Formats: sequence, C-alpha cells, structure tokens
Amino acid sequence: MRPLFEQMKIAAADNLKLPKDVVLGEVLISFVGRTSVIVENYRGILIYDDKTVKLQAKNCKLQFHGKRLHIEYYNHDEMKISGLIQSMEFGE
Amino acid sequence: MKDAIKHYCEGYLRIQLKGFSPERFLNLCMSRQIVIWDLCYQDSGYQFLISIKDYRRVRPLVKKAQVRLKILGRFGLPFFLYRNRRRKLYAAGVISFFLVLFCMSQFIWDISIEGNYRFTDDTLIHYLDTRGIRYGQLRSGIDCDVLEENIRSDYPEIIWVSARISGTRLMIKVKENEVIGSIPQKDSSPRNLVAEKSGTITRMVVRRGKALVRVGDSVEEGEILVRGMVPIYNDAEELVREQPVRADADIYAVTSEGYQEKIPLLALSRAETGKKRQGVRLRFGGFSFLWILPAWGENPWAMTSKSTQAAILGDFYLPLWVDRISAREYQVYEHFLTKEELEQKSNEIHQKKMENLKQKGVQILENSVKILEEDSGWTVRGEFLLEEKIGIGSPFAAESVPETEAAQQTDPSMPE
Repeated sequence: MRPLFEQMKIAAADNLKLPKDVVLGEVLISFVGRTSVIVENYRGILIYDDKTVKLQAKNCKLQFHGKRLHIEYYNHDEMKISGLIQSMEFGE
Repeated sequence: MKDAIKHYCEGYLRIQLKGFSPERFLNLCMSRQIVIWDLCYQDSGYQFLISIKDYRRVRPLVKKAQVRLKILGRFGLPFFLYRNRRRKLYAAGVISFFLVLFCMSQFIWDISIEGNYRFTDDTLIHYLDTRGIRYGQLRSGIDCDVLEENIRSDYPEIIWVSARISGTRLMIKVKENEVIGSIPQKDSSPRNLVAEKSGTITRMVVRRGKALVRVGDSVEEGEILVRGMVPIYNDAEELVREQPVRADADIYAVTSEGYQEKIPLLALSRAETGKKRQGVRLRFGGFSFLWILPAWGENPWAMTSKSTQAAILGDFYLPLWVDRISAREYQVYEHFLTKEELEQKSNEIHQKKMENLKQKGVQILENSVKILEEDSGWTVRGEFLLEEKIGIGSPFAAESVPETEAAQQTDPSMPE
C-alpha cells in the first residue's frame, strides 16, 4: 500500500496529465537499438560488470544484461550504457 | 566535442579501480559531482577516465570505499606541454605558424566580383587599383561603405553595390541598370533617304517625306529614295512652299553581293609527337618557382596551365597560386590541301559570310559558291541575292535644297 501523499501525487499527475518522470521521479529509459541505453532519474549503481548493470531507481531496481557493457558517462541525472544489451528487468 | 576539447585542455587520467566496494566509490563520486566517463570493466577491475582536477578530490572517497586507484595513462594538453617542455624550437615553430597565419589573415588575397555584365572583372579590378584597393592590401585599410559609394558615383550604370570582407576575400556584388538610363534625344534635322546599295525595290513603307521611287524600280547606289522636302499646295493646287522634314521609310530591295577569298595551296598543320611533360609552378607574390622536366629535341612544345589559389576553410585565401603545367610536343609541317579539306575550308568561309549577313537581319534569297583553281592556290567566289533594307539617311541643310531635287516633278499618287 502506497502512502497517502504518494497516491495523491499519482492521482494529480494522472488528472492533470503531468509527466510522471518529473512529478513522481520515475525512471526514464531510452533505448537506441540494442547497443545503447540512456537511463534518467536513477539513484545509484548497485552492481556493475561487463555482463550486468544493476541500478537503483526511486521506486524500483533495474537490471541490464548483456555483453561488453560499458558506461560511457554517468552523472547525477543520467547514465549512458553501451554494449550488446540482451535483456532488461525490473525488480523491487 | 565540446566536452572532449575541455577534457583535453584540462588534462585527464586513465585510472584502474580495484578493491572492496567499487560501486560505492562510483556512487560517492556521483554524489560529489566528480565526473567520470568511459567506465568499463576489465581484468576483474574497472577502468575509467577522470580529469586532473577531479582526481585530486577523490582521495577521501578512496579510503571510504576501501578501493585502490592506479594511474594507467596521462593525457591532455598539460601532460603534452610537460613532456615537450625542452623542445623550444618545436614550440617556436607552432607559435610562428599561428603568428604567420594571423599576420597573413590581415590582408586581402582575393577579390571577387559578381553580377557584372557590362563592366568586366578587369575593368573593375583596375578601377579598384586606382582607388588603392589591390591584392595584398591591409583589410583594415578598406572601408566597404566608402568603396560602395565610390563605385556607385563613378559608374552611374551600376545601381546597387555591396562590398564585404569575408576572411581574406573582398566580395563585391553589383547590380547593373538593365533599362536605358536616359531617353535618347530624337534627331529631327531634315534629311533625305538615299539608296545604300544598287538593287530593285520589292516593298516600301514611307512614314515621312516624299517617295521618289516605287516598287519594282531599279535604283543605283546614292540615288534619293525619299525626299525630305514635302511640297505644300494651296486650294488652287499651286505650290506654296516646300517644308523640310526628316524622311523616314522602310525600303526593301533585292540586291546582290559577292565576295572572293583566296586559299593557299599549302596548309600548315600541327601534329603531336606524343611526348609529354608535367610540371608545377608556385607563385608567391612576385616570386615564382617552376619545376618541370627540361625540354628535349628541337620541336616546339604547347604548354597549358591550370591555376588554383591556395585557400584554407573556404574564404581564407592565401597569396599562393599553384599552376599545374602540362606540355605536349608537336611538329609543324606543310602539306597540300586535299579535296575534302578544300571543300571544308570553302564551306567554312561561305557559312561565316552567311552568318554575318543573317546577323545584319538580311534575308538571303539565293546563294552560290564556286572554287576556282589558280596557280598560287584556290579562290573561293561566293554570290548572294539578298533582300535587305537599303534606305540610309542623308542630312541636308533646309535652306540649301539642291535645285535638281526641288525641280523634280511631284507625283500625286506617291504617299506623303
């Protein structure tokens, strides 16, 4: 069960048609083919090696699997991962 | 690109990261806004790039995350300068290159003129030269506004001028007046129309004056066709006086014209021997250096060159011209004209005459050409039967009307 304030924020974003990544801080993922992905609104790096990148977002965890994964750049707002991306999964 | 230049100027390091919690180290860097890029996993460790400035800030984080950093490489301008600190001449060369480039960019090395039809490039460049604007002139010495004004005032036919300096090039765009600047003064002095050539009149339209000939008449060269004196009669049909007018008429007549041209028996021909030479000439200001293989043999060489001006980045022209020269050896020999060559030459002559006549607006009714053989060569004789305008103005003083003209009988049927 989400806290009341959080529920109100979701309802407001839905009704006012506001972008959820701005209002709720949801993670934003943009794939460019299967060779690179840009992740915005993430919180931190949990695991990184050449086969796995696991990131912490505000409401979930996300995990990229692939080969020769390589972080081109990362900063407070976004991260660009390149390599051969095979799958992505969300976790709690 | 912008970031890459910034990183190069600041200097950056390739670092190997190993230890207990590398991910923590990466997160700590992120939270402290330490920029890390090109992060990859290699040999059970991590490698990344970091700027020198940020590298100095990571020491406390290393202890906190219990990791070890090892510098694998140093890149960027600060390290390049440090490595080459003893190479003074190298540095002097680089600095002098930019210095020369800067100095050269202060002069005009190319003048381009666009939009001129009546005035050739050479005319305008010569004019600019008289105004003190020439190749090698300092850019700062050219005031484009004044130049525009000068061109406009000195060439009234140019109605619009734009001058601007782009790089080392002075670009002048002009627009010439396409309509007639002033209405020509109409000449109303009295005149007769006389025959320019002998011939038979085929058609005529008289607008002013008294016609003395009619269609079908044969006229001789110099004969008066339309008189510039119009008789005025009273009611009793008596001649009161003669009014001088400017005779005006279109009178067409069939005329004949011939020409005669000689073609020598022998003709000079040029044949290439197949020998070629290539070369390059560099021109820098008043100096030029030519590199070409020396000529051999006694035959003459025909040389052609293609000139290009050296330029950097489009408009940055340098005072350096490169001419690519190619030379071909040829032999000159005399030979008798063959029948085909003779026919071709006579045809060329005849066609040229016909074109000249057509350009004059003359209608060619018949034409014939004959080739006559003589001792010294051939003679091409052509004849044309033409229909052309033959009236030409012959001014006269209104007071001194020739008696013969005044005494001529007037025919009422003639148009006035």
